[in-house]
Amino acid sequence: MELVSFEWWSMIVRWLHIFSGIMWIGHLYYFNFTQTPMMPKIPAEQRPAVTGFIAPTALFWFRWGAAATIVFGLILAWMSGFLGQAVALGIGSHDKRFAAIGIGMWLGFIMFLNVWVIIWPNQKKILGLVTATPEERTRSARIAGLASRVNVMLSIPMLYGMVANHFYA
Amino acid sequence: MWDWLLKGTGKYGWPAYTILAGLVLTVIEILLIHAIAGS
Repeated sequence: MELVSFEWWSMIVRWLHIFSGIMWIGHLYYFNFTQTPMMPKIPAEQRPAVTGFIAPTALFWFRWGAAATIVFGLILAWMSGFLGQAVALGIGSHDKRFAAIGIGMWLGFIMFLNVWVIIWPNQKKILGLVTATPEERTRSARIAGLASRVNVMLSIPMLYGMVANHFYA
Repeated sequence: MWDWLLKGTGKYGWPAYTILAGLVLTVIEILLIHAIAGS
């Protein structure tokens, strides 16, 4: 494998895809398994440290990690020569690899939309980055929490699609 | 309606239901892969 070969660049893009994927899903699991369950147990006077400093920074790396994962994933699929077949879920290809990676890709894309279209706009209201009434904040907390929890659930079959693709080869 | 996913129930916490639901979806995914591209 030459240093500047197409295969080398493909490997680099796969590396970046996995790096940004860990950045994204790592923060997703942090929010769901650690921060959210602990918030009610944190003394009220200490909560601003989380909502004012930790959460906005974590959300920054979370949402941009999601964007980078999708971008590098699409480039990787294109470089691997199966972007079209994967988007079509491998229908008509009689190849389980395309069905597996295609389902994983679509689940990842739904999760990405959850982040940018549902979670982030609602989090901005919760954290006070945009003005919202207390009722709106309560409603936003439930919507963002549910969308985030759905993403934890979807991450399980999404990761199966990503790794099983190699098993079906 | 969605409290089992957000908060869990009195018996088990949300992680049990969320992970179980994810595993059920994975089984459906495996069946779909075979249905779509089975030999």
